Amino acid sequence: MNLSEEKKKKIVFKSWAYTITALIFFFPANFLPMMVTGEMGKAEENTIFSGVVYFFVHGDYFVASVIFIASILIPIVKIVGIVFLLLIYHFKVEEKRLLGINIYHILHFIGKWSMLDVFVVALMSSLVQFGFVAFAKPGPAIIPFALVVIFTILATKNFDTKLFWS
Amino acid sequence: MEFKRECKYCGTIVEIDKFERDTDYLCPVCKSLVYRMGQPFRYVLFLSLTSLILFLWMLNLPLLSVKILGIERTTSFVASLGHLIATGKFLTAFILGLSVIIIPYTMLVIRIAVIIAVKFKAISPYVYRLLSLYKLIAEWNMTEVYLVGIFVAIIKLRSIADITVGLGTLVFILFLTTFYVSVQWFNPDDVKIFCDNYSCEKINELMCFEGNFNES
Repeated sequence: MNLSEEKKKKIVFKSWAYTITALIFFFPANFLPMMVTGEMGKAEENTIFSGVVYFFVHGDYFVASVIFIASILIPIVKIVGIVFLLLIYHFKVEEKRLLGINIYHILHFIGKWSMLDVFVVALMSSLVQFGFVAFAKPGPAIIPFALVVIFTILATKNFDTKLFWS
Repeated sequence: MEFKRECKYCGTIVEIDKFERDTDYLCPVCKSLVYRMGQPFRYVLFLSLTSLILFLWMLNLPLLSVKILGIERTTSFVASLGHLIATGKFLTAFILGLSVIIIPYTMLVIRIAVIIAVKFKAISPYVYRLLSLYKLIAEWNMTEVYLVGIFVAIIKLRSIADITVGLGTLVFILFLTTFYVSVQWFNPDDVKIFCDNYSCEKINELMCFEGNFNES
């Protein structure tokens, strides 16, 4: 099936727009605090990376790996992956078309898993509400982070691998 | 009778020679899955109804309880969502509510409604629209991510508090099991493919036939 030139342009334009938007939100998502926790009145702000380091230092390698993979690695892989798909189309690299489809399947599969940290923060903030003794609340990074996930999913959904054959 | 399906990844037209369960029709060019027939609708209906009951039951059940210095706090799906709304985290509440509560619920309701419509041979354009909506929202369902989120929260909190896993988490696991089996067993394209290639009069065959379908 051949896509019309107009449709091709629209798909490519929208995919770039979603990807660039995700990339823009990626920086506040990673540099602003994801969660604010407090113990005995002392508040502490945690970014995603500082959370990973905290669990790694305290020997919780499993949690550190899960958070690192879901919250840092997957968003990067998704953004790089979509850019790679768009470059395959732009440079008409025919021998990479099947690789492109495999990458598309992977991006499609991993897309939603980066939302993990948003759900963990939401759950913890509703549970840990002990006033002065202990509290947890979502930090300002939660919204840009959720937007990174949403825009990378939109970019993947919008991209059409039939572009490689058109 | 054979029918044709276009591979949605590369556009190749693939000929499918018969309705055959447990056979994956792959695209000869890109090896992507082109068509897999769903399981009999009566099984999907049974699982969907079970999922729906478990889903409605779990919403208010306690997921986790945390105890610090003798003070205990419990949360559920609804309480977690309510807390986000009460603290002004509307976008997070919207994402959580949509991807973990509204979408799975809508998927279940659509599936049940479509199967009942098939049972009573009430196939209309509305059924196809519902199926299109089903395919559109299915990709935004994130219930399994939330389950992993519960486990990560347990591991994170165990060093500072006593954690008790509530009945809600167990019901949630049961719900996810039935929900995902029913998602795998239900192919939303089957109704249209069947009506286009055979006859909507014979649509009830989708409810119960278990082998290969041979037109008589």
